[in-house]
Amino acid sequence: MSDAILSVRGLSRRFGGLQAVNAVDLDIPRGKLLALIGPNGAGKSTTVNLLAGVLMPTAGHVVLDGLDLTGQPAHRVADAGLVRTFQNGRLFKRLSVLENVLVGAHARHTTGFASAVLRLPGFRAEEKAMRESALALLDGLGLAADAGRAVGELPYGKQRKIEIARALILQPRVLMLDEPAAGLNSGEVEELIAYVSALRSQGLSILLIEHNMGLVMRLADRIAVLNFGQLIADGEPAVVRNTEAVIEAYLGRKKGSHAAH
Amino acid sequence: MKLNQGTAMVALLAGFAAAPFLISDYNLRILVLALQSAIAVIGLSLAFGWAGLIQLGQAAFIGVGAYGSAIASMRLGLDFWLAMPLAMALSGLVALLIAVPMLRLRGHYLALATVGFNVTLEIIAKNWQGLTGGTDGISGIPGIRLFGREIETDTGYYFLSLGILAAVVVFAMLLRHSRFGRATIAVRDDEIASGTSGVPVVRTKVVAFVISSALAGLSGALYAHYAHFIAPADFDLWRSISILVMVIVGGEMSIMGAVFGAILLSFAPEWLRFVGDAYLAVFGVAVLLVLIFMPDGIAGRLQAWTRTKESRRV
Repeated sequence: MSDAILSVRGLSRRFGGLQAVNAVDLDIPRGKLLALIGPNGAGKSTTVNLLAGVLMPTAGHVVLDGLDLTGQPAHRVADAGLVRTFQNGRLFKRLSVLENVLVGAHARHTTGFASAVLRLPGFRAEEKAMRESALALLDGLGLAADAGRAVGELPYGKQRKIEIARALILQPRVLMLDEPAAGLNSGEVEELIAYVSALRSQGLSILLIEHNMGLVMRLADRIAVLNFGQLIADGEPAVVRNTEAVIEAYLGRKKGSHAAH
Repeated sequence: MKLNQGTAMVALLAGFAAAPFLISDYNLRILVLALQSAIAVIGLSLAFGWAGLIQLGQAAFIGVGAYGSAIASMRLGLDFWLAMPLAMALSGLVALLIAVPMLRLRGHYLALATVGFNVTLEIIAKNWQGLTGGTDGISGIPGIRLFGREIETDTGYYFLSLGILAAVVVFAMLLRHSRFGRATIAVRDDEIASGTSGVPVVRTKVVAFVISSALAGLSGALYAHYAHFIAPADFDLWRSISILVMVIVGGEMSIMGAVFGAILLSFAPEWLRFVGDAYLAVFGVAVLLVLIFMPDGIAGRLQAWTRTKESRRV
């Protein structure tokens, strides 16, 4: 696993007496999709929050392609190329669809404040380029016609796509999708699978946090399994799905194994 | 829609151009003060409406600008056009000193700090007699010279204030449609998602607060040289609350709404004069009614109204 674009070592987070994430090691292979799965409360969301700089780890390291991001604030992590989406679709409700995506481009702008309020040529050119790339992303997601609308007017499935566009405009090196299929209907899930596969085949490295095992099995190059904040398995999908600990975590222990408890 | 907006804009400009020749001298003075207030109201709309910062002491920053400009012109002999930018910078600097520690903390610390600052500044202005003239204030502040001549009429100050306000409106609109405007609004809508989208949250809030305060400073400097007299009571907490009400009634996000809010609430005490001592109660109820029936302010109401008209036509 020497060619990991994202390496996580000993990542831990304690909330009072609860060890929510305990010494987790993860490697996302370059250009591959790692799925992080586990039952409810296993620590998946906390892990994403730790990686994204939303929460500070109590121990451990996060290294993106040689760059140590541990303890960096969220905007630095995003700017460095580790970008996430949210499980419950957190959009900016007072901005249009296009503007929501453009907020994601904030860190890519290089012209400053004076240039913006004086509308200098550099600002105009940059703003135009960002708009074009935002519109291209929206177009690729079938949202071109909705660019000028308020996000609140759009159905849930479209709102989730806007979030993906907002993350992609940052040109991430690793994209973290937090339960992207939650709340989608089966048609939308199929679209999502096709879109995510296309992203990966363009070389994007992806961390997929997901509940839906069908989706995971179709997309994952590797699967890591969390339970009670600890990594209980990490490997090829076919191997992981037959691991005893994983079956137990998802389906409960077999009757006989209680004796060993 | 485009045509409507254009027509509305022309009508608005014509109205503003004709106003001083149609209204009484007394109302003209109130209108000049309203336009000057509107500059501070636009500032607060940026900090409060866009960025969601609970700023309850905008009058203190108007005061810093007014005293700063008055003292700079009287003690240092600076012309208004030098004293005014200095006053803006001073207001912005004071805001920076307050914002950096306060905005790192979450929650309502900034709200408390701005109230505290407003009260503290009033006490300082009342007691530092050598500099501020105490409760008597500063009188004899020189007027504003433009093109080599001192402005002497209210009509002159009206057009000067209108011109500066127009520049501030344009500045705010250009800012709104840039990454800084988008980021400022995003920060209030969802702080966490702003951060993970690459927006530096604390810095964005600090910048919004500093710009808001510098605009308050500009408003104060204009006021001081127009009124020729300032006193601590002009910049008390009630003035801050009234600026906040102007933002809310106008529509907290809207730049033109801020202007209308400032004008409407500057004239409200005049229109409500007949109720006498019940003024504050009537005023309070009126504001409550606005909040209940027009939660997005005048601008929000207008927008909703044009939108339904549009959809009916389709």
